[in-house]
Amino acid sequence: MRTCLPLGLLSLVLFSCGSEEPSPAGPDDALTELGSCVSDEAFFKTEVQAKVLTPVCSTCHTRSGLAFGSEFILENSARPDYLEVNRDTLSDIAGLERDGTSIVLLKVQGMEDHGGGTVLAKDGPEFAILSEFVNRLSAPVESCPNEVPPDYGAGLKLLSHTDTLRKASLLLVGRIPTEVEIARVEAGGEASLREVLREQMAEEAFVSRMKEVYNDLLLTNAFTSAYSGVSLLDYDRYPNRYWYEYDDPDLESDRRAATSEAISGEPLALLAHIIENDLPLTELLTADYVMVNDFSAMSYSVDGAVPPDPDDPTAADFRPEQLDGVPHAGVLTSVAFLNRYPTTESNRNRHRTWAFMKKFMATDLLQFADRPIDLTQSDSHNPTLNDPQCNICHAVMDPMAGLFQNWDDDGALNPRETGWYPEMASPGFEGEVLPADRIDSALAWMAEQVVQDQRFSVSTVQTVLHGFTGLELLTASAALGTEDEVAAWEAQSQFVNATASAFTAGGYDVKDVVEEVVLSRYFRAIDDEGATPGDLVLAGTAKLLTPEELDRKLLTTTGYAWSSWDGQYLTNRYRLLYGGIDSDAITMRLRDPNGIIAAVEQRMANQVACAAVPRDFVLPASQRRLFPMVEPTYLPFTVDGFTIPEAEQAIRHNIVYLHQHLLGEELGLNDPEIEATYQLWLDVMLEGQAAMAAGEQDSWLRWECRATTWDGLTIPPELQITTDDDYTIRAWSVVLMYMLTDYRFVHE
Amino acid sequence: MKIDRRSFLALAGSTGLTLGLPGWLRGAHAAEPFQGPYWVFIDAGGGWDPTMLCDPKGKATSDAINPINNFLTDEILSIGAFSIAPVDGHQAFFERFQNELLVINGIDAQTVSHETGNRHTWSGLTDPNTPSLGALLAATASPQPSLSFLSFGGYDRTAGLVAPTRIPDSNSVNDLAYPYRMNSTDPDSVLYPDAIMDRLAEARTARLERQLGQATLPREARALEMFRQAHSGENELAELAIHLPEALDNSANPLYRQAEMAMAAFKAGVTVCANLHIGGFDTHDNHDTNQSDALAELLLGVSYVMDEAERQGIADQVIVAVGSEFGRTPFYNADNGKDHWPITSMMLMGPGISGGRVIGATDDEQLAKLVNPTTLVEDPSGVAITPGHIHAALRELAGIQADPLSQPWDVGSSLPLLG
Repeated sequence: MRTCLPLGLLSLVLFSCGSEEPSPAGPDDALTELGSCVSDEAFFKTEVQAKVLTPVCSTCHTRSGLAFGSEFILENSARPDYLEVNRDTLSDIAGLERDGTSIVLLKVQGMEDHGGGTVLAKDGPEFAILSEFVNRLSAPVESCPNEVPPDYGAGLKLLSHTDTLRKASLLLVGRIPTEVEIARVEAGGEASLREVLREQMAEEAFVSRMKEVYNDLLLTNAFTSAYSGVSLLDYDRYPNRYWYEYDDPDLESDRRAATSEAISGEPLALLAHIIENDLPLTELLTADYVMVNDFSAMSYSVDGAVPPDPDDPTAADFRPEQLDGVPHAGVLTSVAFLNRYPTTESNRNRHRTWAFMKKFMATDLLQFADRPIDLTQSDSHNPTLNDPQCNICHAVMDPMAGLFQNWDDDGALNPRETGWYPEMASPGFEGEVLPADRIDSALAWMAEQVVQDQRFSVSTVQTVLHGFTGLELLTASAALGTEDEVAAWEAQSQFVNATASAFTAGGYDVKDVVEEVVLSRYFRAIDDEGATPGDLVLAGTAKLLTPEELDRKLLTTTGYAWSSWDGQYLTNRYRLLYGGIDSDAITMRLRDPNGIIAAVEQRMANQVACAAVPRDFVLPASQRRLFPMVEPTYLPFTVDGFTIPEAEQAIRHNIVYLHQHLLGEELGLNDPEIEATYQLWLDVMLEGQAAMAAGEQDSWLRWECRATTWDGLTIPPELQITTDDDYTIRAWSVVLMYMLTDYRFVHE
Repeated sequence: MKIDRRSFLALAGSTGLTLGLPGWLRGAHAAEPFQGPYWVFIDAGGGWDPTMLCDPKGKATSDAINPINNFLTDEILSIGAFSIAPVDGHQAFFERFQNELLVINGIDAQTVSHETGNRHTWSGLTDPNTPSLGALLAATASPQPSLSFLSFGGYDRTAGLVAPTRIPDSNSVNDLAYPYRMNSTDPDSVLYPDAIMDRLAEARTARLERQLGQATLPREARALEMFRQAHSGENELAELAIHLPEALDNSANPLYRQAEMAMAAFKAGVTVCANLHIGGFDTHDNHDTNQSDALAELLLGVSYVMDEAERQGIADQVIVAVGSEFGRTPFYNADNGKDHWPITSMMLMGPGISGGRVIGATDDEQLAKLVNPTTLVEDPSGVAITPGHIHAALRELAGIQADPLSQPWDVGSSLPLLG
């Protein structure tokens, strides 16, 4: 039997009706003409999966859900082929009938011993979708002439390979690409771009950048700034933790700080170790060692450790170390991770489990908790085990919480003498109970399971994609109510899953993921040339730089470190104001600028331009970052009004250079933007000269702007620049302010 | 292909990509100071215990087994319309605000998850990425200053409607109030004459207009618009600096300092809404001491908000909502703590809110009693009050219930809660 759904019920026009819906032109012809034919595959994806399985059935019918023991187990989008698998699974169940009605339709109405009771109203749209699915089993629509598989990315104009190199260099290693790198990419296209990117990923700056990305995820740097890392160690196990208190008192403060930094830095040091040695990223969870340096080795009483000299640059170098009696499991057993996600006697590691799954399994258990709890229906004796309202989360959470059982509230290795709580679910993962001989190394056992799960790879791609594009990724459970929303999520899922699969197949090399993200439309799209709605929503180069990224960009483009006595402005005094995090109380970066951020940009532009412009002119032209084509004496006309074409051309050429150098814009000499910038320079220069003539300004540069020192060194007197007789230095400074406060300078 | 605007607005709820920007839609960049009303949302982070505050429950006798609280029912105080727990500091607070305060008890947050509870309490919905009411109010305000939504913590998701602003300390505000001074305290330390700065501003504006005109990707167009909005209030920080105290409060109660900055920002006309936050309520152990200490700090902080509002001369324009993500169990755990419980309360006051009243109630087991949706009196066939009801009423008070920016996040029908 074939049935028709009411027009307008579905967001797509989903008629796949048969003879009961007569049409003068024949049903199929008419539907094709209307463009309304929907294949079974499309119907399942956009209707059944998106509107019934994901929001309704998947809350219980998963391998780790409340209905994990049933025959109806659904996969989620972390598995690349989840749509095909789920369609087959549902088809198998839906094909079973009682008295001519599909079992599926009975179960959702609370019949056939459905453990979840009634979950769909018979007159609701979700039930209609499910009915249509059942009907289609006997009247399949294999394909439709009007359905063309989306070609994601096809309608987007991307950054050129060299422009991609520029953006990637700034974001991966915090510098402008070298001329050699640019030449290679110009000559070799994408293949060369990939080669250069891999070379950049061998640089120390890339490791630092990746540590930023992963600290945004782990937030374990919370203990660095407070000098509190060392206090996280358990005194009973590590009685020498405060070793520096018993040695040279003059070195105590520095050693304490270095030791704290080492202990709080263990998780990110492990990441660095993995990247530097091209190890699989799975070691982040499975490493059977901890990263120590000479300072923390003393606290851990590592054999052979001797008190290090704080001034010894190698003393802070990390190395892997196996601590006696510790069942290491990568970051999971680091005191920084365990204390950053603490637990209590009543919480029983559930918070840790939630954090772990969110960060490493692309799963937010709290999304399950969005379902309302009705206290009047609650079993107050042991609701987390017995009440379905609570068990939705706890059936997943509690077995994994039990795997943290050897680590106490303070993150110390302290196995419970009485074993795990008998009233809680047995420790395990995805329905598999923790083997008895692995109780002592339960977290290591969990890590071994998790890294084989596709969700680990998916979470890695999500972390990198978010880190380098600033995108807030869509989730399947978000309100995906329209075609565009579903398309956007599908496009993203397709990219994430494909990249995750390649990451898995390639041996978990995180550099593969970075490379694919950089080459993706999410990193490179700059224009719409007929993109799909899904692509159109998320693609684009619109990432507000973090304070750390902006600080590096400022230095590499202007050569000037914007700093004060307390360090770099952007990474210290203004870090939080500019949307940064402290990993402790403030853990979410601001992605949108506000009035404070705008003021920081203005202050930055004013002070940097004042200092950087005269100092750049001190250098030989060939060494300048900003003004390689002009001198302060270059004026476009004489005092008598005669034009000096060569000078004007040089000024314009330098403006073209600045647009490329600072803003990444490849513009021709006659581009309107070049003209606009030139006119700004010219107007400021003339206005300034007029002000000098009127005695309102003088030729002396304000003292902060005078080029008399550079990085603390005195510039030879004959090279110093202290005056600006033609007001050209200040005109260039205003042009630099114009560019440093430009949207394109503070975004990538 | 262009994405349709409705879809994009709806998608913004999950992505933070909203085309429905106030400036974009309405051209309402701040030309004049915002005149109010000013909204303050005070979050008691961690899950407070209303049974130790405005919905007090005591034990009948000193030897009662499994008591809901360790104080006696006889010790519960009565001030005006309110019954209050015998906890230090409560009496003074309720005596001061007995005519202004509206207490809503028996609110069913329907969750014991911190994240979901926060979202439900401060947005009226449990859906992920729902903007807080503060963000909605800031986004729908006209004129819209660039610091329209101050956040010191709590639930401050904006769904891309507006950029939240953090102000950790006043020294930085003074620094940034005059970004073109080399020395922020020296008016003569600017480098360029006004005519040149005006020319620079003109060039910037023209450049940004060209960039906006060329942007074809929604994500970039939106980012450009946010950039323009951020740079639209160049004098706003200077106004804020004028009204900030010379030295911000440095005591242990974070609400004092937050209140000083928020009220100064309101007075300066640069802010529409402020999220204030104080933690310490997640009392899984040593509940009585820790919870009562936290509640005392909270009430002192609320009082300080009103002190500051009065000092700035805007008290009659300030609307205050005090709440938490959920309540706590009506019994103690093995650590003398209390765990999470979905039934909670909220306290409101300000213009448009009829004070001196208590709405809603709970039974002896701290379950919410149903109320008649018209009369609000207890009614077994009535409805349970939810955060959605409260938000619907607050949206009506603010006049934004029909605003296009509110529409993607429908909180349902309101109850006549505010009087």
